[in-house]
Amino acid sequence: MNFEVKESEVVAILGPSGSGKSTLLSLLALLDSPDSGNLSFDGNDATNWDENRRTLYRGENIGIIFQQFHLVPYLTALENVTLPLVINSSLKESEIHQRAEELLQSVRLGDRMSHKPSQLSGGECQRVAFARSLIHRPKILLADEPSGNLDQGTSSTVMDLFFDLVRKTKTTTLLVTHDPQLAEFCDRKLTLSRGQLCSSN
Amino acid sequence: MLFKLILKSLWSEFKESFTVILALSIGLVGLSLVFSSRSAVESTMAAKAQEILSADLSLSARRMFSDSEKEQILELIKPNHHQSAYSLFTMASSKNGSKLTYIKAVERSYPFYGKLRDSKDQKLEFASTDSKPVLYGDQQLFDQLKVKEGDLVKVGTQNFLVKSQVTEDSTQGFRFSALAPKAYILKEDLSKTGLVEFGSTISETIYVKQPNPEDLLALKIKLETGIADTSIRVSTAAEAAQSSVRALRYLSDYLGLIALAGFLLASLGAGFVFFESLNKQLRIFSIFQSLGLTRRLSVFLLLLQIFALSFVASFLSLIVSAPLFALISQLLLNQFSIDAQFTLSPSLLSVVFFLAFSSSLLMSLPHFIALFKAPMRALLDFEQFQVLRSKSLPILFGVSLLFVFLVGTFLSRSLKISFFFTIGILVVFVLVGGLGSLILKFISRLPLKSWAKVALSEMNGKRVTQLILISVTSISILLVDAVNQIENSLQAQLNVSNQEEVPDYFLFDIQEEQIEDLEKKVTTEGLKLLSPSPMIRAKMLSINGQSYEVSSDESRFETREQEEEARFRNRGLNLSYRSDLQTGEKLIEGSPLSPHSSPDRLAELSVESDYARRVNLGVGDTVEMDVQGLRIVGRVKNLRRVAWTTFRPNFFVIIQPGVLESAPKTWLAGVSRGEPEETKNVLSLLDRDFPNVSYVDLDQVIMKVQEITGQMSQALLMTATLVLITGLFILLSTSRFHFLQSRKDLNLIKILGADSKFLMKKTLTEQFTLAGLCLFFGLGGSALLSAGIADRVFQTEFYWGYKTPALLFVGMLGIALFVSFLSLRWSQKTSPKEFLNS
Repeated sequence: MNFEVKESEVVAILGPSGSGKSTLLSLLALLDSPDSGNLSFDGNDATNWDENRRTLYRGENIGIIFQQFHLVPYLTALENVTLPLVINSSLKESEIHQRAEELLQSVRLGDRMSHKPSQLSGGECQRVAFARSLIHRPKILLADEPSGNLDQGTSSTVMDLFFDLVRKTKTTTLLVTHDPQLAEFCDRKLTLSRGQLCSSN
Repeated sequence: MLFKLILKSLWSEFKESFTVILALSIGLVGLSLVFSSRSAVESTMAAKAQEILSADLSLSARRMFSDSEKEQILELIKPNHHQSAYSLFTMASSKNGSKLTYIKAVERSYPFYGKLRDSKDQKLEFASTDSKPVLYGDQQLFDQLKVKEGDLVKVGTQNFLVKSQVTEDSTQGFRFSALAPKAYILKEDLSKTGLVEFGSTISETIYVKQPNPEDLLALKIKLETGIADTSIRVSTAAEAAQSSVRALRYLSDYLGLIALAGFLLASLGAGFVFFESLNKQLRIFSIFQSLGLTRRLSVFLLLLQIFALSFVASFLSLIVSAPLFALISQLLLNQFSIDAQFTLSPSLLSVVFFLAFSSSLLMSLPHFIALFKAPMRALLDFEQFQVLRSKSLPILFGVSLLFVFLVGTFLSRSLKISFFFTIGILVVFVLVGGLGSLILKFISRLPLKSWAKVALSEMNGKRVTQLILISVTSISILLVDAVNQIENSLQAQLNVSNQEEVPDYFLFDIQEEQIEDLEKKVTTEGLKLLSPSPMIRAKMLSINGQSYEVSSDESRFETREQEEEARFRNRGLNLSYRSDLQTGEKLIEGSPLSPHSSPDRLAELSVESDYARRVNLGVGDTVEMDVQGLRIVGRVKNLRRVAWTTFRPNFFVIIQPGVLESAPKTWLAGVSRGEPEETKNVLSLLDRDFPNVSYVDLDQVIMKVQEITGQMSQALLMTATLVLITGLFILLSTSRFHFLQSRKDLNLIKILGADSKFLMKKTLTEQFTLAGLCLFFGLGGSALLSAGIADRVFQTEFYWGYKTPALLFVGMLGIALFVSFLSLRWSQKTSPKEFLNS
């Protein structure tokens, strides 16, 4: 497949199970290398980067949101959000905490910062995951079925917040989803079928 | 900040982390005690080495040096200061009786180093009084001969005046239940006793003073190169000090192995409990990696966690061990007169930490491999990204065995012992795994009541976990019981007071011309001389044409086997001659010796079976020997087994009659048991008419051996008990873990109608089955192991004692009840609705 994503664009990736969405996501997240072809970020050819370089680039420039949230269970909401900067940046602890607090405020979890994931609802956990994915101001945000584990009511609230955030921060976003209604909120849709790109509109 | 978050993960898994720390530290206590004891004894002996030897270097032999040898030695050691001494075991008698005594005949300037002080805290002075030579004796001599200062003590044919008691003797070193009291006389006075003329076995030692270590080493090499005769031993002070505690070192080696078994069980238990926790850690690390943490850093951070756990465990074990150090220090002082100081040295800390860290690392190995090797894309599928217990077990097991072998070699200083120890552990796990698996399968299929069926089916379903638990507990039971059973067999064998074939007294240094007369006189007193045997000193030169002796340079030895082998070979040999078998002997291969030798055939030899195995001799092999300057070649005609506990005179190598009759010899014999009056008469007869003949009260010797056996067993038992405590702790902690794993199943059967009575019966069935299997394998394994050791190592009959098995049986039942009680309490706290919510 061949496609481009412009800066600040929000793109939905659709397709049935087995169409290659997860594989595509793992390539875009630099968790894997393509067998053939090229992959570049911001003009940088990442095709042949070694694992270390891919990891460091991911840590600095890519944010990922998982369907199952994947928060660290023994850390508070605030500590979970700080993780990308704790791992990769040289910012002071106070600065990191300030950013994290601001982000949690923006996802309306200002009063739940010291709660652990087990004390938060599904929607709240996903909002923490959103905040975590944006704290390091990534160039690209990858979201893998962010509302997949939420009920309909929670999902629409959470996704409203999601789109609000990405538009505000002008973050280039690729969103994998089964939900065609969610895809309507995106700038463009890429449809996959059996590992091929069927349409891009 | 990242480190803080990582360490926070350990705190979040507090129960598991605490269990791991506790298990490791309990396992480490035994090893800490063994290491620190060994280190304390070795450093104490090293510090006192010069005092113990009383010189910097010594040359010694179990005979007197010839004039040419003395000349050669003196030429080699000049210009260093030197002095010589003689020592021998002989009878010392007072008006109150006679006792076998260790006599040391020294020069006036003895010792070069150390203190030899009398009751007035003065140096020993050997100035004659009333034209009688003087003697200094230790406390034991004074007590046993019931003498005081100014009394007379006869040694050989000479009366000595008892000058004073030796109250301080730094040359004493380590006394391990000394066989005989000790006395000092002047070297020149030895000839007055007539014992030299009689041909008594006298050892000679030349002491050399050379405090410069480099010059000392050069001198040692010069002497070893210059003196061809390997029966002359050259020792530095350090070597002599180490030699003096050899028995204690061997004991500490075996203690180390038992402690290692305990540590292995603790590590297995800790690893078992920590397994799921590590799987959780893997998921956390995969989250971190998705956020930009490199693989290398992930591995480093996991290492950091392991480091933290190991450090705390090591620290805790040393805190627990510290008060026990004081206890052991007191024990060493009281029992063995070793004033060892225990310190928490950096080397001890390093060793303990290294063991904790290595074993934790090994237990986590599958997780490290997963962290390092799992493809990054697996991070998106966390359910796949975990280590499966079933796949990890073979790796863990193999690596653990290798670890045990390596550490065991370090502890026991013997590749062979460590190898057999490791194989033993492997055999236990394989047997328990194989046979235990079959038993669990079988009993789960029996037509039983529903609660029993559910319990046994569940046990069979979780076979791997159950068998690991059973193995761990069985090994603990096996070690505790085996130590007792082996001691039992040895003590039973040594209880010989009712055995008529065991002599009452053992006589040695009987001269050729005395034997007939002695036999007649003993018979006259109503007793018999048992197994009178000539003893001829010899050296083995070659076997089947290959040289037999080895260099005794200790720096060449890498293992204890090599050291022991060299010492054994260079010791020389005592030969005897006869054709028939004696009481306590049995022919196991070959045919009996011919009653007379033949000039056209090689002399026939009979060799003791263990000795033959050790030196690799078989029936038909030729042996060349040096018998006091005469070269004799013989062929092995048979191998025989000797029951040494009959305490009859016996020899590794016996030659047929007609070969050595004219060789210089002394005789050994036993005196049969009789009425007290008869025995008293015989002893008086010996003192009066045969003053050069030494005798030993065998009952006292046996008592000393029993005492030593008892002491060693106590030490081994203490360590084995620590292992048992470790095993039980693991059992309890893994029971909790096992319960948590079975929570879902428990809730399910509650939903299906199991009431509290059902659960109680089910739980009791599980726990008693577990206890039963542990006892079966533990006690069964112990019986087999003890019987094997009794037969193969000690060549004694196996006597099974019931007390320890009974105690263990009751103990295990108690544990089963206790764990059942805990399980039932935990199960009361679970609710079936958890099942619906999950």
